[in-house]
Amino acid sequence: MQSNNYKLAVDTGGTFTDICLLNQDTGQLVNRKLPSTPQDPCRAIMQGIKSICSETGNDISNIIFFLHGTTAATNALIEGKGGPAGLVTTRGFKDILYIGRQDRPHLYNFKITRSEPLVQRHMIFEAAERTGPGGEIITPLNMENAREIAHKLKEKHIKSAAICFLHSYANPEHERMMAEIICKEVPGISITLSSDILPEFREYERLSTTVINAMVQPVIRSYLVQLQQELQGERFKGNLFIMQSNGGVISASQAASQSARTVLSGPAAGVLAGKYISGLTGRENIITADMGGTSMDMSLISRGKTQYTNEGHITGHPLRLPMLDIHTLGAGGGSTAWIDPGGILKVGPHSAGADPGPACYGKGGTLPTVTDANVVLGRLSINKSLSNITPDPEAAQNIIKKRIANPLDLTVEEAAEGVIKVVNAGMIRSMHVISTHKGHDPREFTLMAFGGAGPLHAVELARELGAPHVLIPPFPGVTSAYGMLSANVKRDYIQGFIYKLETGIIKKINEIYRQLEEKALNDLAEDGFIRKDIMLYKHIDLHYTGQSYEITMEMPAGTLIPGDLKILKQSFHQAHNQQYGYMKEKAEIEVVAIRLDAIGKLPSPACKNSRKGSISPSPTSERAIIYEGKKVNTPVYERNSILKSSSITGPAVIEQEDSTALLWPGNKAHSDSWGNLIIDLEV
Amino acid sequence: MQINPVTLEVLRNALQSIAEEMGAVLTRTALSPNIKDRRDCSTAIYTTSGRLVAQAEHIPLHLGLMPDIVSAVLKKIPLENMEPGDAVIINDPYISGSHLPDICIIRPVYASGFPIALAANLAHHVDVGGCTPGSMSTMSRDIFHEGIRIPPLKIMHGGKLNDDLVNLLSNNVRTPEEMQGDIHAQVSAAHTGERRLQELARRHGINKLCHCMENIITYTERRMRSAINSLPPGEYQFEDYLEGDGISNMPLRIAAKIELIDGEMKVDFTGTAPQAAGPVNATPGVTKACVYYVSKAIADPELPGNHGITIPVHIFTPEGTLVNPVYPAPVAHANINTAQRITDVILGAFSRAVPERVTAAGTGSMNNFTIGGTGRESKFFSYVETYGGGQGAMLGQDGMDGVHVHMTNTRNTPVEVIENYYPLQVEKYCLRKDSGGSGKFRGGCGIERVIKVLSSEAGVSISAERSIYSPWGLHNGLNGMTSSCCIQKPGKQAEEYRPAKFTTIVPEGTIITLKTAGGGGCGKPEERENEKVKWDIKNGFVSPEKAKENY
Repeated sequence: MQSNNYKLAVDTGGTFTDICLLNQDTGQLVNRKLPSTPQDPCRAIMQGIKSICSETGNDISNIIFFLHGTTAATNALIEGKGGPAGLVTTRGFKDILYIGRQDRPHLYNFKITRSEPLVQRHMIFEAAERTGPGGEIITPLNMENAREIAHKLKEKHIKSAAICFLHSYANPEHERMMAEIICKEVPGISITLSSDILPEFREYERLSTTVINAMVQPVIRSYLVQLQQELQGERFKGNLFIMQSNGGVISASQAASQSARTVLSGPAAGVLAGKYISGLTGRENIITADMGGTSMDMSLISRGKTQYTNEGHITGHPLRLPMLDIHTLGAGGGSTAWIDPGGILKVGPHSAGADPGPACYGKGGTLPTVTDANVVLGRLSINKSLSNITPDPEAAQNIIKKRIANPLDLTVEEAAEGVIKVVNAGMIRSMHVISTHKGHDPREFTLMAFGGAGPLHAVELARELGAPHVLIPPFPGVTSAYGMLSANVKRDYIQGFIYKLETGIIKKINEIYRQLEEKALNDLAEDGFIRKDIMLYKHIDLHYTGQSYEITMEMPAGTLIPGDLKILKQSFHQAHNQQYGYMKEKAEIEVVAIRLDAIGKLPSPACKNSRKGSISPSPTSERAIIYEGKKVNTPVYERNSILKSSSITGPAVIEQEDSTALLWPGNKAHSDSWGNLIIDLEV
Repeated sequence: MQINPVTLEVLRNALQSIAEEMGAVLTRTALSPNIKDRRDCSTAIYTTSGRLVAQAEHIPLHLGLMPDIVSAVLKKIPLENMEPGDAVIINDPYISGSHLPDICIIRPVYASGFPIALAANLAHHVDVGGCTPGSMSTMSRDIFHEGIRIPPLKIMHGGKLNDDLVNLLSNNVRTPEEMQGDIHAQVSAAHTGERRLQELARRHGINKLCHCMENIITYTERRMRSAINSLPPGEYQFEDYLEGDGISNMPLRIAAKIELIDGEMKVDFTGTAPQAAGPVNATPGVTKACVYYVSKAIADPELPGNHGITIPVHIFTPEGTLVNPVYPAPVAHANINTAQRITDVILGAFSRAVPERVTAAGTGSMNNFTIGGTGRESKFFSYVETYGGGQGAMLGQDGMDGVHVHMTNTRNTPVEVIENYYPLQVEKYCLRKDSGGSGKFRGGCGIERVIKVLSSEAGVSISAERSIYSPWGLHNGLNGMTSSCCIQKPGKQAEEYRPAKFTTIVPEGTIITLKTAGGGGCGKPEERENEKVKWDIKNGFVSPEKAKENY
């Protein structure tokens, strides 16, 4: 069957490039996982697309949407490949980046110092200008001095410059004038204005975000140019969209100018998968846990809604663009176990990574890892594994014995179970940070576990956390790419606006929303959206005057009228009470920023109901697995033998190409209508 | 009962997670920005005998304060006199060791009727009465000037809050609403700790949990002892000075002798100046906190914060001195300046034992800056901030520029926030060129902030140090530049204040400049790599003139 309605998602990670191809007419989905090619990420992408197309008898020209998650921006920052960038600030304030918030990263360790600022100090220039907090001009921009700065940027061969002046969120005039002068004097330079990328008050965070954008923009632009050329060479005619950290995608052309939005976007797609599955299955509360080789990303979906934060960081530098709230822990299959000087068993944060990898992979790994422990316990199959490496159980036994069991005077099995318990303990602590610490009760949540190692640890994590159900998506190893298929275009706009919330400012607020809406509709029209596929959501950041944190509130649709204000104030008091445990009904409420989210709806993926059947599946084999010191013969099932409403009872192992799930004795599992494996714990 | 190393690590994580959750509840539900944003608070779990097991701290000073508070309180109200649903409140520095704004709430935790632990927290309140707003007068003469002193009292009994007590307390402070809100937050944080500990006891059994808590302390003690054993045994001395007590400018000596022997550490403060008339006296709690801080930083920065750290450390503070004042001496400002100087002295002594692990002296003060007055729409405003400065260099690394050192780590207030909320205009906020001490490794640069007063009149109060005795360098590294403070009233000559500890009233249009001290350098300046000197000049950390002179 030939169709020309395909959607392709490609998630480029540090180790693997994951690809999902969806036929939007039939709902048929095909996956591919292949090693990434960090020197030239396009190589793995093109190779993967060609192979997946030829296998399905497809043609690249049939792909109308190409959704892409890339670590290019993140890597550029981590590896320092972005720079050098220049920076222009207000006179007297060149050190905002160097002083930051004046705090140090570790309370006790003198050796842990702050990350090196992203711009060298001699590349920072002070412009003679000053704007006041109300947007009033205190000192007009000195044009001659501005031209001198432009000349210096030229002399230093700077390719990308950031401009961030005090109070530019209230009046961007000086930043724009400065940009104009630089553009005229230094042809071809890229410029990022703080009033464009994040017109919000608090200068350090705004400046840092602006600088990050200036650093990664040249890298992303040239990467996307290359990718588009290679795609066109293969007759790709569809639209290319890039994943952002806010959980939506943007067009490639916008990603090439607002590139900072793609930083930290990798884990966002996994959360999106959680949201998509939440919508499909009606499971409103989900904790997503993506456990790979070196790290684990966790996020929480409450009442179907993902959680956001404005406090993102990358390599120690604040990035204040709105992003999904994802907690990352350095723990995964490759995390190494060690004994600390006080004689306690520890796991991570060091990881053996993919190279040399766990000892059982025989690639020169000499440290015991979580994967080695899973092999010793029989939980991981020794007959098959990812990337065609067959684990060597003897190597796993030996390393656990030598490094853990002997020094701690434990049996090898006790030691291996210890490694798993300790790595789980750290993960549970992190899961508490995103749930109980924020007032969510894990007993009301389903734990969605994915990534290569997630399904193996899921039941123990859920049990310790008190979550009654575990959900394992159809293709745990490529869940991020799968999530991307459900992405919409999302653009967020913000305007810093500091005023008391009272009827006198309604006109101004309406005017700002009108301007933001106009901009949003234009931007999305450029991406090819027609009005009926665009949805606009208005939000407003409020706080009690004097507070240094805000609550983002939803605004009523339509033009704001005085009556709305009373309701808004009431809901703010209530939200404050819910989030912080008190409200001050007599206190003054202040607006800090006005926000608009614009969604361009892409066709949502057709979902295919899984095959029905109530026959109890039969195990393909059996192996001995250790649970709490007891060796139990455990049946092994193929994942695709478990059909809707067929039920199996643990102990059991459920294997599929890229992942293994473990059911503890007494657990029950079935497949739901959408092919998710659901494990019910005895609670 | 011997607990295996796996269970120990699993339960240690669980207990730490509970302490952190209490911290999250406290900062989330507290009313005042001091607790909410600056996180001037700590939460902790104790054994029934009052030994600290797990702590979530945000400010190093609390690491040392928390171990002693609960055992001191248990001496006044023994556990036998408590029952489920009780909670005790206290802020008396002469019992709990900090200063009056630090109020502590302690709740005994029971499972199946047996006491299993205590959950406690400490939070810095905005105001506890006394002679100035904020209860942090630089001029108080005794503890009564500093606010209301609460002995250990039951703030909750049988699960009910003692409203009479809350009313009495809040009636004696300038911000009653904040105090009530913050006390509620503290009570609910302790309550959260109680519930979580009960759940843990149900899952693992009371016996196992209690044994495990003891084992965690022993484990930490073992690590602390082995860390101390890795230091060369011997006696090491050091001394340094505080620039007056706010009332007189007489230098005040702080002296310490450290003795390292058989995995134990003795610290003797004999030779320290007698207690001062002004509020710079450090209670033994504060003094010990500084010793524990340095010990942990030097011995093993990753040590878990619990009672185990303190067991092999013996501290002697002679009575009636700056480091162990006798009631009713005033104590409010010890946390700001004296604590930093005690830390410098201990570090200095350690520099003679393990030179490679110690930084030179840093900015040496929390550089407290307050401006208050009547602003727009006749509203009272009060801008309070502490400024960082240069960190001392150490062998192998330069000091950080413009950062808080040692006993504090609170964030700054953004320029755009200052200008939106106070009648102040910031003219300059930058690093001080040439302020870092020269050396093979350069000390960090101090900060310069210039503020113009736009209101009709304002009270200015500054409490900084190191304006006379500059931060010392190590191993022939040069000293960091001293701090300085300058006030320029309109149409008048600029006046410099030294030492920078004063309170005054200034008219509209006054420009105040505070420059904080740079960190000391480490190693001979002439041994600094040429490339690094060039880099510092190119990037404006060091002037060509100074480079020529020192390098």
